[in-house]
Amino acid sequence: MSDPSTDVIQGTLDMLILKSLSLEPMHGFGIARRIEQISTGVFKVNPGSLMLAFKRMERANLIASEWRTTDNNRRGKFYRLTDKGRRQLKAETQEWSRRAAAIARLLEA
Amino acid sequence: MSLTAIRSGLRALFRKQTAERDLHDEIAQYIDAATQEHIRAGLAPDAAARAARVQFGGVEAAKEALRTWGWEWIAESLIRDLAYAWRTLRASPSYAIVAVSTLGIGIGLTTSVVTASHAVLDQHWPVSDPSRVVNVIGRGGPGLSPAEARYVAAHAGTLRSLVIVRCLGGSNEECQLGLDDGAVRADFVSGNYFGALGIGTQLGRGFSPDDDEIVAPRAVVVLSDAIWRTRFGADTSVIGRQLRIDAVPFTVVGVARSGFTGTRMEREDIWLPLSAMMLLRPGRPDVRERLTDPNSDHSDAIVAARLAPGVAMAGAESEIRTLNRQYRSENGLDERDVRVIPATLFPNPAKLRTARAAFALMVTAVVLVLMLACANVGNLLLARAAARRREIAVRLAMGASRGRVIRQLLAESLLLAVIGGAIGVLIAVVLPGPLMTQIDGPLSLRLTPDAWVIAVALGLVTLSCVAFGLAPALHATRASVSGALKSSSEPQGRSSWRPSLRGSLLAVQIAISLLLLVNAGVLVRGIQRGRESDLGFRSHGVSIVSFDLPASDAPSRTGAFARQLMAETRSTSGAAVAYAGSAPLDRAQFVRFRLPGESAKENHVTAVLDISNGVLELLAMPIVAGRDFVESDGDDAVLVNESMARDVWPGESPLGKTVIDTAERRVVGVVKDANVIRIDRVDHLMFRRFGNRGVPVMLAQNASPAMIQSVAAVAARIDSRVRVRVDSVAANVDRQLGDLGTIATLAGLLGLIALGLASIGVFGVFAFVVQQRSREIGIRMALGASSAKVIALLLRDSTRSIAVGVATGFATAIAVSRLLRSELFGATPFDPAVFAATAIVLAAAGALATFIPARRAARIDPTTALREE
Repeated sequence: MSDPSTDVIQGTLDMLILKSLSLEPMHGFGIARRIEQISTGVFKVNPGSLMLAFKRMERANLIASEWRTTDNNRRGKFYRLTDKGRRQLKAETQEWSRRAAAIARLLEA
Repeated sequence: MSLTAIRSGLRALFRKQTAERDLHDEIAQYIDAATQEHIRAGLAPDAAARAARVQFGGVEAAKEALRTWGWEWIAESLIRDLAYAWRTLRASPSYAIVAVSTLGIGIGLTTSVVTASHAVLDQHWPVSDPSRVVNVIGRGGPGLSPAEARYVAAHAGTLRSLVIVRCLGGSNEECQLGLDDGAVRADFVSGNYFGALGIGTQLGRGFSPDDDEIVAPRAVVVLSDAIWRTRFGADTSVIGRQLRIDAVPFTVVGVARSGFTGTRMEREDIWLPLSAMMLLRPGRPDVRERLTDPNSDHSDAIVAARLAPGVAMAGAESEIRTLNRQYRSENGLDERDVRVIPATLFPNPAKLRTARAAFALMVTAVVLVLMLACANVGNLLLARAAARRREIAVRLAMGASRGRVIRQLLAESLLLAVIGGAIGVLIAVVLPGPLMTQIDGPLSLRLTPDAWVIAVALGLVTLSCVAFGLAPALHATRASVSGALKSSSEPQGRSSWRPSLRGSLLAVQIAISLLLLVNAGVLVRGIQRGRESDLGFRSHGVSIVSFDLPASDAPSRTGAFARQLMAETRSTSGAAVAYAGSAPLDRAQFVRFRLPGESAKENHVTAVLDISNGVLELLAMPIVAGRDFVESDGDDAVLVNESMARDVWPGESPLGKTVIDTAERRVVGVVKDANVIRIDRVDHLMFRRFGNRGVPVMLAQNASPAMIQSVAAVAARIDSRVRVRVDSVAANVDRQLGDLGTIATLAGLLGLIALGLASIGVFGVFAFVVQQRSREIGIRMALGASSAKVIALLLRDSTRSIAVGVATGFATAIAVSRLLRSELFGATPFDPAVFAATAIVLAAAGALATFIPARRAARIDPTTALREE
């Protein structure tokens, strides 16, 4: 039996990133970790896609970034949610719930 | 695209190093954090680091993915592509120059012609509120005579005012008058011209209706700003000054506002009231008649009107129609159709439809040339893409994505289109002005190219560049990479679709250029035949001398001058001279007449020529029945021409019959038909004895300048105020042919350009074929083929395309020339001269185009060709 897919459901990566940042600003690895931990390993984020998503969302003004010096004296990029991002998260969450409920109903019927 | 996106994109573009550093640092940070986690889980630092990197995946790939995302990347690669394309073009300068100039010519020509067409046909009158100004026209001719115009103006409620504009005699030459020492262009306008059209004056005033009374003409003139500056030094005291126009004193009453050059296509220098015509040509009763004659048949006045507020054109038209019917029935004239159209600058508003058709034809021809240019460049692009298969294959093998390579190939096409377009726009801006001035003299038109026309032409060209650049690009990148790397030249067999596409492009090129060339030839031949055609009378070597006396003279004084002049010059001069009321092919006089027994309402019209003894001999117009005038004939004797005899008295001899115009006249003879009134047809013509009807013109056969000088001297001696003008019948012929001549010249030029383009196309294709198949040629020659055979082989492939092109070209040319038949004095493509000329030109061009590549093919050294990769 092949390993179950750990890829993020298509189209939901942005939402998951926004959710992760809704609690506190974080750097890239931290966000990946959080998604993995809270989904209990169901979703593993691909670093390449993650960083591309960051760039895309930053351009769309959903998240903002700043460079900080981390503990080991390295430069680190930290992301935080913007107001627009907060609104987007809310919208996408509602949309997702609506669709998930519909699928659930369809499967039960 | 949001502001943030733009800003960060710009930052990435201009701070490359920072962007790279950020990228590196962010990835390093990620891997670092992963390493820390592994260490915490218990791995040794090295193992942890390794594990973290493995987990991350390909760092360089990720960097590349991130680098190439974002609008700035596309912009940057576009710029880089363009720079590369530029270098490639510079490396093959001949190809680049050919492509770019082809495009430039195509775009430039098309834009110029469309701009000129729009300017001539659609420009508004330069007056206030021009959209409310309309022209009143008839079907194929002027709708209203000046007399009727005045009637309509007085009775129409839908028109606020009506103005009349005309030249003295209607022909271009008669628009020139003598102002003191030099010639000027003059327009005669009704008294309300300046007021009704809202044309302001910077000095003095415009005309008022009082200035334009036929019963009491006033010698007043309004100057244009240009003339005021050049001839009068912008002197502000010019108002009230007297100047002499054609030796007649006039008073300046105003200077028009700067920038106003009249309501015609040509630039006007001065304006005079309509009735002032009579002051300038007192010896010409026809001038007065045209101002007062209710019949519009041969009036050439331009009638314009301003619509009353709130009135639509249709309303005005129906009212004018009604008034027209009333007027015509009251005056015993036939019904005539009148229409109302938006005011146009076009010289003859009634012929606007024909002009539109003519311009449409020109535009079509030029668009064909544009298509030819596109086909040419398309062929060039195809050839180049085929030649670069290897280069493309190498790129693909080295890892370029297909899209990337295609983008780069397209960049080349785009660059060609842009440069070609720039040249085209330059041509379009520079060409129309001087060209039109050359044709017509200084113009009143604005000839800047329309933005949308340029856009359309550019779009077309870009489209063709992209299409012909894209297709081979797609094909080349799809082909197997290894196959392309291995073979050095094009596949020997006809395996791909490319050759047939190139073949059909070739056929199209040849067809189009043939079409244009043949029709140009037909037009030119038509003009030639028109010039040579037998008009039925002597049209070469006949000079026309006119004498004009000042206005204040009584008819008796003019008559005395005429008699003395005729007597003295007839005896002194050596060459044959004769006198007539007007010259052949000049503005003709027409009279209405009726036959005995017909009521006053029935009216026939005929052209009339007043002649004295010797005119018929001088003009070589023989008498076919009856006799010429004799001394004993009174004013009641007339001659008619064959057409008039045939149509007015069918089946019987006209001799002895009576015709009633202003008096009863008897027909005493019939003259052979000749095109003496209009060049392209025979009008009904009645000859009267030249009596006391003003001052005649003198016709002289083969007159030397000395002889004319002596005549002028005699005239001056009889009356020192006389103004003598010299012209020729041949010049009148040219004038009537005039516009056709211009069109023929332009068409000829266009045909030659088309041929040039097609030749370049053929040359390009053949050169490419030779180059690509040089290996094959080398092999064949090594095996013993002669160079002639090789060339024949090369030509064979293209022969079919050429044959198709020639056949199509001729077929369409014949079809088109049928449309032009009526204008052309019977010239057709089957005219041996046209056939021969076109065949020779085409053969020469073809030979030239294939000669160089063929020579190159014949010179191919087999050993070198075989060794060549």
